[in-house]
Amino acid sequence: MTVHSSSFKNKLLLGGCLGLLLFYGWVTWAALHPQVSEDYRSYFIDKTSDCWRQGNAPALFFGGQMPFGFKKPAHTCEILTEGWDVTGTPWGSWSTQHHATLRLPLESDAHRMATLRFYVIGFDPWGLQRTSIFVGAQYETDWYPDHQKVSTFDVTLPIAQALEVIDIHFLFAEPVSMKWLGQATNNLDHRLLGMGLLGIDWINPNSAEFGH
Amino acid sequence: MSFPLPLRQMISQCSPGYVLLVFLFSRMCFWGLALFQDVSFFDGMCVWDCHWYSQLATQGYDTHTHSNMANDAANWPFFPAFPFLMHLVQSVIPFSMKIIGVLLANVCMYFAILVSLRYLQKTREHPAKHFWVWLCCLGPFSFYFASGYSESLFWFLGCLAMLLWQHQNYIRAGCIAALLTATRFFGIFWPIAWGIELFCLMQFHAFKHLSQNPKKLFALCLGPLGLFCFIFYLYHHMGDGLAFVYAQKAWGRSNVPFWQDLQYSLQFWTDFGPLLNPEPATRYSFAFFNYIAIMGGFFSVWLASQKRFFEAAVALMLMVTVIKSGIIGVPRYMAGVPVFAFAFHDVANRFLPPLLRILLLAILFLFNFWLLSNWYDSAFFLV
Repeated sequence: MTVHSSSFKNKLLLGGCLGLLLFYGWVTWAALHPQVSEDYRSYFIDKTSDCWRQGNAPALFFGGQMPFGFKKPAHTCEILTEGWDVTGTPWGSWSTQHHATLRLPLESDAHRMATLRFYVIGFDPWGLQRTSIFVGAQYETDWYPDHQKVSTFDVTLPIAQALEVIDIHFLFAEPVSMKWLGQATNNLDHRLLGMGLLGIDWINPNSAEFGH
Repeated sequence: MSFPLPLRQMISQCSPGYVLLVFLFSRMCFWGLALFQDVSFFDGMCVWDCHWYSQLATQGYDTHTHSNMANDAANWPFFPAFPFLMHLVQSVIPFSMKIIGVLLANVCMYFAILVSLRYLQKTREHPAKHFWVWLCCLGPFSFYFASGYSESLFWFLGCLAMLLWQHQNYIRAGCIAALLTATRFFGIFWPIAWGIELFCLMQFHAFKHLSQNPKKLFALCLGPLGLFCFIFYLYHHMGDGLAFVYAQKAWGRSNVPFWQDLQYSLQFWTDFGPLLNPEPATRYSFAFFNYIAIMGGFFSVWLASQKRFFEAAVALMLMVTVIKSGIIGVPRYMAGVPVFAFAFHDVANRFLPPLLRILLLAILFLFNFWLLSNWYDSAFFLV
């Protein structure tokens, strides 16, 4: 009787093992086939994107303003697509590499051209900084922002449709490593400062106050 | 001066009463340092992940990301056992989650010390019991076990599972391991390490041995149940069973291949300066993590050389996993798994005479108080 009950117990345990292994197999299969959005997949799983899109990036319209920096609506990876510090500061959104890109949504009704005024702060302790501006793949102009002072620069862009999304690239000739200056807070601080972006206004070129 | 006999017995045998006294003394010290730094004890102890555990215990698992600079963080990486326990306790004792988390962690740690002491007595010939108790209460990184973190529950369940396995209570050990895998991801190392231990002891005869010992086999199969239930739950809750892995991205983990991170980290062996930065958020040192990782490697090899296959396997798996996920995790994860503390105890017990062990403890306490003071400041290197 004892032999039989022991054998039954063993069979029960082996059955339990089999049941558990089947459960693990099924859960593994489910885990390898997640039911998630494309955005989630590209950001978290495939890691093909570094922008967690919330779909609430503001668009710039005629006469409107787009402020950047700490807790400002435009400080989002949907607009600051590449080369910007993820942490906005009260003194703007700062570039941290040799190259930075803005993806700017412009909402237009009748306008065919947009004149944008950029408010920027330069980081140029040695007076060597030149910022080359490209709109799409086209070279536009060079800027020389003042060191740690607010400068303004205007750029005029063509608009082809009601919601135009324009990529603006900034190439920094001499971005400054905090480490070179002995200002890096620790060895995690890899920032190469070039320019801080404070805001963009869509101005009326005919009545705007120039000379900020 | 001589103690009365019962007290002397209590001390010499490291009885639960003695452990409680040492434990309370250590927490009084932590409390005293909080007062000295003008921080509320519970606020000081509930930093970083403690807030996530509190939020999880109150609101359950998120369906969407909701915090962080990039708004990409959610509570998916936090395993359910500890917050679930917090939730249960709060339904009986209506304190804030912050207080409950800290109290619960301390209660778990007290029992973890008792169980680990039993385990040491069972597996070591002449354990340094007093050294062990004081090390657990006041040793480096011991404040993690006083904080609202799941580390102390993990220690308790981990040591209990090891003790039950040693007592050949395999099914109970498997059940506790299942709870362990629902507490932290590293719990999965327990059943795997039991398997490795069997293989090291019996080579390929281990398979035959398991087929003849269905209780052992069942325990090994039961161990991962907590982890798989969690994966199953996440899949049904938000669609991704592995969200607890992927969501680490919000904390800057696994953004670049780990070998690049490691290669960079290994360039620095002297950058201790930033640990003294006035701004706590910038206190960080690769050298600090590198040296602790080297200690972890040494302890893993030491355990293996002593033929403590189970403990060595857990230690090695942990080191590989942690280095893969980012070197910043090394100190906390090493402290959170008891096998490194066992190895440290063994090395100290083997090579140091009792007086030097006391001196070593004194140095370690001072180091711990410096770490604790950083913890109250929310210094970045202790995250």
